[in-house]
Amino acid sequence: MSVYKDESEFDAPWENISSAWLRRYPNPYSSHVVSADVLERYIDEKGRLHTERLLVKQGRVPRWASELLNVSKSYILERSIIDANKRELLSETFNIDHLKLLKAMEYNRYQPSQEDSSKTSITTLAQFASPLRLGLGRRVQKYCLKRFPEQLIGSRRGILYVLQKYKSFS
Amino acid sequence: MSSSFSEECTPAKQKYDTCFNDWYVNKFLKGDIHNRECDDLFYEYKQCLFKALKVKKVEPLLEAARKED
Repeated sequence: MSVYKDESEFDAPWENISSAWLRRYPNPYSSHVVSADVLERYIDEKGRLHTERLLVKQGRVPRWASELLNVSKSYILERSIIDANKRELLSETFNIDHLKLLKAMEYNRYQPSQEDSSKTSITTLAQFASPLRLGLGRRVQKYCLKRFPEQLIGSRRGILYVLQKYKSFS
Repeated sequence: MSSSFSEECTPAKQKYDTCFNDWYVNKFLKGDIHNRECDDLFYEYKQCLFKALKVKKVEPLLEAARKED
């Protein structure tokens, strides 16, 4: 398994970031995400908002993957817990198909920055595990690891784009 | 606003999303968690969505993912 960790900061309050995060699709930096459906949503006994979404990603698949498994589309499950009291958003995302090729998990935590609570800090953890044998799995994981930072920049730009678009938030 | 994976559900989804986004900013973030003004729209959207998940055979993928938890 390959692991990637990252910490970053948005120059916007948590309330705005969490609102933008929820409605971050579509945006020009995530044009490969073609749909986002809400499967489940409820508030738990602690007042936290739970959401489960199904994302469909299309295209942008590396050539070796499409050759190996005829992959052009992928289903992603995204779960989030939002605690407005604590000002915390936790998310996990993972693919639910093509698991013979790869399981990619991503965890994010958004909370106010410790130094400046008008900013939002994000902690990201990504894991890539491929069950492929003969060294292929390692190559797949390495490939994902190499591409991940760029994808991360894209997804953050997407959130900022949506944030700008809906400046009237809260 | 994002589309549904099943085109015929997109109108119901977008109606629900509009309600939810407003609720999130103006109610939830302000501590009003018992307000359930979008429930009816969510129900309508889910009726369409769950039918589509069955027809398009996405359900088994979801079930397998939940079993693994």
